[in-house]
Amino acid sequence: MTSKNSNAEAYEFARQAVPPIGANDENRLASEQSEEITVSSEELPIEERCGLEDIDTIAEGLLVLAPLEQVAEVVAQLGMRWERDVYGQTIQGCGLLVFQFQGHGWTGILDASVTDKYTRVPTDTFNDYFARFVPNEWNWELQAESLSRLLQTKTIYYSVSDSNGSIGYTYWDNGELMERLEYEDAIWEDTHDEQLWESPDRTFEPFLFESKLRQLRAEEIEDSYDFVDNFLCEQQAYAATSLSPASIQRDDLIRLDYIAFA
Amino acid sequence: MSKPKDFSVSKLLCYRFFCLSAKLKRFISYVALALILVNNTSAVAQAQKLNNNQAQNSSTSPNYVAPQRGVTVNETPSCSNNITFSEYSLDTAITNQYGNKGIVFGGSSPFITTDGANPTSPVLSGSPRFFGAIEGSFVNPKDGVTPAIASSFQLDAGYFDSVGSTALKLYDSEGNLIEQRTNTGEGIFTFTVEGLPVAKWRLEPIGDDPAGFAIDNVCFTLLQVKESAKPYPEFLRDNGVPESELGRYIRESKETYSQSSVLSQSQDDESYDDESYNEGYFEPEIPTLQSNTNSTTNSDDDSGSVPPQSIAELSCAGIGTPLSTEELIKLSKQIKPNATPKQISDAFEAFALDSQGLRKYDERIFGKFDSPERGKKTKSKRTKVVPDAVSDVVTIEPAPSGYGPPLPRLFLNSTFWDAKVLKTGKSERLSESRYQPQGFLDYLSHYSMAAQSLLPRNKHPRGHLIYMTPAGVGVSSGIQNYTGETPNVPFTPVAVYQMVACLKDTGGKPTKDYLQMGYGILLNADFINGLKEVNGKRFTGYPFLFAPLPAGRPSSLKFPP
Repeated sequence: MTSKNSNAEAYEFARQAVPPIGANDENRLASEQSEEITVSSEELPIEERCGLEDIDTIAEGLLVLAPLEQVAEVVAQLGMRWERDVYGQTIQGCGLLVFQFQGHGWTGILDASVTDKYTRVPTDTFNDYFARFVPNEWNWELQAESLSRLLQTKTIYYSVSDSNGSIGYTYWDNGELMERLEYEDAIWEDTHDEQLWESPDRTFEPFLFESKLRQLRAEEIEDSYDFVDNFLCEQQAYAATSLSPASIQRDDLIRLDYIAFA
Repeated sequence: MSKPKDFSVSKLLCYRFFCLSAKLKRFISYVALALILVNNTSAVAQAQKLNNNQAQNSSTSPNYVAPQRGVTVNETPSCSNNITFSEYSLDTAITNQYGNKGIVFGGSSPFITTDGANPTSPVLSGSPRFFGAIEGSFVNPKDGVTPAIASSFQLDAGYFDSVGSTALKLYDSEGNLIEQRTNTGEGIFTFTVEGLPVAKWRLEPIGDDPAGFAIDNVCFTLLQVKESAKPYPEFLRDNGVPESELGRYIRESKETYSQSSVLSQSQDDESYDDESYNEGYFEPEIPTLQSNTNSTTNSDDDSGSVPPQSIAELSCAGIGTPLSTEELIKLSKQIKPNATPKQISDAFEAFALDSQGLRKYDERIFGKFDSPERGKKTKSKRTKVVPDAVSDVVTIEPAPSGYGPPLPRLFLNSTFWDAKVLKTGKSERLSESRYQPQGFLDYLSHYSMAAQSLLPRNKHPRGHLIYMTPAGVGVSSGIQNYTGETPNVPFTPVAVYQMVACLKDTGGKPTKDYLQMGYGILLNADFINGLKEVNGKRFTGYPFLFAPLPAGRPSSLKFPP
């Protein structure tokens, strides 16, 4: 088990991960140099993982650079019930999972629907069993801004969808939008020569990139997937997409809480 | 069996022969022979006279003159194709005329001729007459070209005047000699072959026979291995798997499979009750997509692809109206006004899996799937791939003798299912989502249990990739014609299907089951059935695939209440 001190160190490291605005070329971030950072891997210990857990999925989530207890306390004010340490427990209704990995300074938030993907459900029932557990009143991007402002910290909203081939993130610091990237295959195809679509030289430039941290234009980013992974790794952040029991064990978590909204 | 040609009973039997059961055939054969011999002595005498006149140079025996009869009385194995060489006129050179029956002849320029020593003349002779080798290669009757395997076959050869004068060589689909037999008797000798995977045979003189030989009454049953992307109960039942055995082959959600028969009776009839499906060699004639057979590249453009709208119409035929992406979004907003794109994609995926009786793939059981090619394309950042759902490919091999229970085989995790909600007019391509389709195909074609099977090609399963989409979404030709990129790793082509969401006509009444996944349309039939060459490769000899996959059951978008 990782000690509280090492979590605090991780938190402090992550706080200082992104250099100030105007960093020169020598200090170019790894996210701009796509091959320098090893992306997250199931084989790595949880403390060393970073980037997106998986991209062959549909997921969105939130990372807050603050201890779990502090984040859950704020989120719980929006919900009806705060259930602590629910790993392995049955949860009901719609709500959010709030968790922190060992050795990580970031607390993650996912909607609880990730759990029902691994639950055998009676599929002849119409309404409830396939229900996505995300609360209707929860808006990820707004909450990213709100939590960043309330907790005076950094937050990252991230999304990935293999259904329509998209990926993106927004990065907030003290309630201020610092960086945003959005990529979608369909939009990329609309703006590129068809001959490039399956060429070995194919690129994945975002259709939107804005930043207060660095001088970089969208067309200079060759691979949005690499860029997102590397950006997360720079923050020492591991963005869970499914909390798959195949790759996340109980000992990997400091704690897993559930904020019920219904 | 064919002479005299004006004898009505034998002609009738000839035409009807292979429509009757084996026992009935034999019974009628004996009766017919008796009729011929007893009541048509004049015809026989006439034939004998003719043959006597020609015996000097038109017989495979210098001494024997055969009485003519209409049908063979030889005991035959279960035989679904029978060739008597009375179908074409004398002196016709025979090559591929019987391709639509499942055999192509070759060797030393065979042709149809008379043989005074053979009671069922005319016969097939090599060149020079009665002294040339004759070959037969089994082919797919649908195209007359693609190699096939016979589970059993039989032919009459002779007239042999000496034992051991002629060899029958049997070859497998790779051209290997698997067995050689000789005539162990004189006269008209019947070669019967059962239980061997014979793709080709050759009959050739190896010793001295003064007047040579010819063949007649070639009778065979082609071995058909049926293959399906999932062990659908209907598929198992239709291919002879006992009801009590079904559970052994259905890994999950048995209760949903049992409810998946939502097809109307007419649809059932069209797809599965066709007589040829049950008794014939290949799948019944059903609407299939004709892709561009001239394509020889593996580029991922859309040239040669079937318009997505056509796929949607085929997929939703008899079920409902194809639902486009725009209509999906509109429908989603009616159910959940503030639905985000992520939620709509999620709801569609959940609907598609539910309709097909599938569960989200659980990585805990088998983990993620390795794809070195995806790893190479992504600089080792993504070396694995995960589809939305997986199922097991199943093949059913008929009992080699034609009797007894069939042999089903499961190939775990060899079918990948993935839902895609792309904009109308857009196509899924090899490189989408960080080369996810490339990863799917790489795994399925090289490393899946189906791909790594050691079975001979005619029994070899393939991986299946099934895209579940709204209408108007395409699957690129690069995905359909994937031929692998890894050298020195055995490659098996992947069957690529697409099934489209269909909006059911509920007659204006509100219903909870307003959507249904349509039939799975095979997009690359020409490629995986070896009818089309891609990148200089042609993958022939696998079990044929044409039929669509069954439609799903009615379901609905899965939004939060």
